[in-house]
Amino acid sequence: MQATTEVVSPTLSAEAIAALPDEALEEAYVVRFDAHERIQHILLISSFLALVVTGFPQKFPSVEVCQWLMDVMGGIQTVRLVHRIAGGIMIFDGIYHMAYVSFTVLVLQRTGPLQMIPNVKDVRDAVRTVQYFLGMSLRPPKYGRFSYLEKFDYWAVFWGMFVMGGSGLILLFPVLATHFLPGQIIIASFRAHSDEALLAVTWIAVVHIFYAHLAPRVFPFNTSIFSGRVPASRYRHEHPLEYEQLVESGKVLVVPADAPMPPGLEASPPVVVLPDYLQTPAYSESEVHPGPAARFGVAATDGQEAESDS
Amino acid sequence: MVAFRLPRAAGLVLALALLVMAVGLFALGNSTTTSSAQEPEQGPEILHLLEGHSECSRCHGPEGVRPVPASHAGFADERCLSCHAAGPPPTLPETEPPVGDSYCLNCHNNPNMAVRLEDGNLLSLYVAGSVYATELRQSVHGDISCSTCHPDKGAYPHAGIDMSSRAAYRARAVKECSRCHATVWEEYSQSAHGQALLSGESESSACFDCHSENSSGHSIRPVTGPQALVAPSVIFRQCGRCHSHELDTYLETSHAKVVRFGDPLDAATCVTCHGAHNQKPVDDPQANLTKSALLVQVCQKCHEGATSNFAAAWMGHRGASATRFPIVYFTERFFVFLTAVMVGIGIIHVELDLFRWLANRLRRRRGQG
Repeated sequence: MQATTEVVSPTLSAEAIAALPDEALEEAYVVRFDAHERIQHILLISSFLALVVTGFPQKFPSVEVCQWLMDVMGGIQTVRLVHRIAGGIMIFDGIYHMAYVSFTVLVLQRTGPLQMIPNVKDVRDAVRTVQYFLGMSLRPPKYGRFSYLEKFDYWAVFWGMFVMGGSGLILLFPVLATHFLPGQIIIASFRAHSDEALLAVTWIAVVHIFYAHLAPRVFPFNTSIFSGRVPASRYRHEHPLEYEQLVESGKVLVVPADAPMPPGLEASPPVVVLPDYLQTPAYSESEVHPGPAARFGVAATDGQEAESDS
Repeated sequence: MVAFRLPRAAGLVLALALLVMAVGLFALGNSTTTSSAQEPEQGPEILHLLEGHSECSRCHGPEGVRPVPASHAGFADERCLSCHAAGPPPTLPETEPPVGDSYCLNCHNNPNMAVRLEDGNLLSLYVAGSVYATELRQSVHGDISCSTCHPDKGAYPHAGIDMSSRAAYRARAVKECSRCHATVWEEYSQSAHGQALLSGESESSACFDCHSENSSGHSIRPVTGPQALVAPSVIFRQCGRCHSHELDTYLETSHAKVVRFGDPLDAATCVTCHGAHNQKPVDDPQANLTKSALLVQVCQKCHEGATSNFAAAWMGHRGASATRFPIVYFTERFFVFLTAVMVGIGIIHVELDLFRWLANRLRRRRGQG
């Protein structure tokens, strides 16, 4: 732990923390991503944008705007060079991520990344979420560290990286590729690269932009992948299973209110961070605050409608 | 105020101009009818020699070349000379070659001037003054006279065109090009285009089909520069005028993309693989572009170290099918399917989520109200 900010263990019991109302948790947060994950996302987003800007005009040569864009960006040769550099950055990012995941799981013995693997609960969660959307159930299922949609999003990118990186390299070195692969693979890569690009952009524009920016509970901007942390008042509703586990297993730390996040904390996510004023007796008296039960889904057993947004 | 008045003033001027034009046209129409009515016995002079022209109606008919008024319908050839006199003979002696271009245009500026070929088709002999003044003068041949390319028409009267068909005429026409462009002619006359055209039975590509925009020898463009039609950046358009299916498939290739984005020297155009003047049929065993070891050599022009496996990637201007290029075919199908499913799932999920959020809000508001 860094010396600048004093970090202590909570004196509150797990039950008391779990019972804290959303209002009390506004300054509490969960450290969700470490520095590596945040850097990986910055590399991904910047290379992705560069690839889209330099790639899409190439896809539609008969469109006037694309011809104009190509001229503005310095002609086809410059654009292709930038595209290849950006592609290299994205491939590096993919390798970086794989190395990071392997190191985290195998050496550091942390199981966080493994929770990205889909399981039966995800199928059940997906069905129940749709039921909730359609009004067939009163509340959405409780998600763990990664919801089924986040897993879907991750594996879509995972797949996309292999398709785009692989086909891109084949197109960059077509003669070399045909030393190992049938000639058709060049044309197939050409089609795949173009189609998967369109799919990726559509997916990002529709799904990712919605859930990271436009969705009412995060609007206008879910900053967690850049700051590494999420307000606990939101986290307990978005990832209730993980939040409960963190509180129960004591992965809770207390820092002085208004202090910057101690850099040491992000080295071992996930962890719940509470401001120190929550330790005062006023917050442990449950009559003062109604507690989360009345606020979110938990109280819905009496037939009342659950609220999904905070 | 000025801005308001200007349109009104312009409108007045326009109305005035229209009025003047209408009056003028009316007067003109009146004067012509009057003058022709005043001189019923004396028709317009015949502007050519009468030697060898015994059948007037062969050229002069209601619909044909140099049409006659509808009132002349049914008139026999013998009757023509009773009103129309032979005009003055050509002032230019036949022995004085060549005549100036303006002399040619005296007759050839008539839009109806044409000759009927043996197969019944009309071949226009019309050279519009505007075409002559712009297209031809601005073409690469702008400095040479009519008779350079039409040497047998260097004097009047000149021999007529006695051709069986358009194809035969075109086969004859390209030979004029060969008189100067002898080196290219050697290649062209042996090419798929040249062989077909010179047979006189096929309207295959002649020199002026590729080198001009409108298949006219009068508008041959330079081969380089912004005016060029056969420069690497635009050659595919000229080829595509006939080979439209091949053009469509070419435009889908990465070659075409680089070419169209303005770097034609870095990617293959039509002529990179097929040759410019020496194209051969693709199934010609001697050709440089068949599905054989020869194709590899074509690829190797640009792709160093290309193997026959690499050359096998070329789909030959045809699409993929389950049996032909199956990897390409199933990749295409798969991505259509994947895109439809993924985008469908994404949009539905987002919309359902929004729907639920809206429903919750409305219900809560109703509960509060």
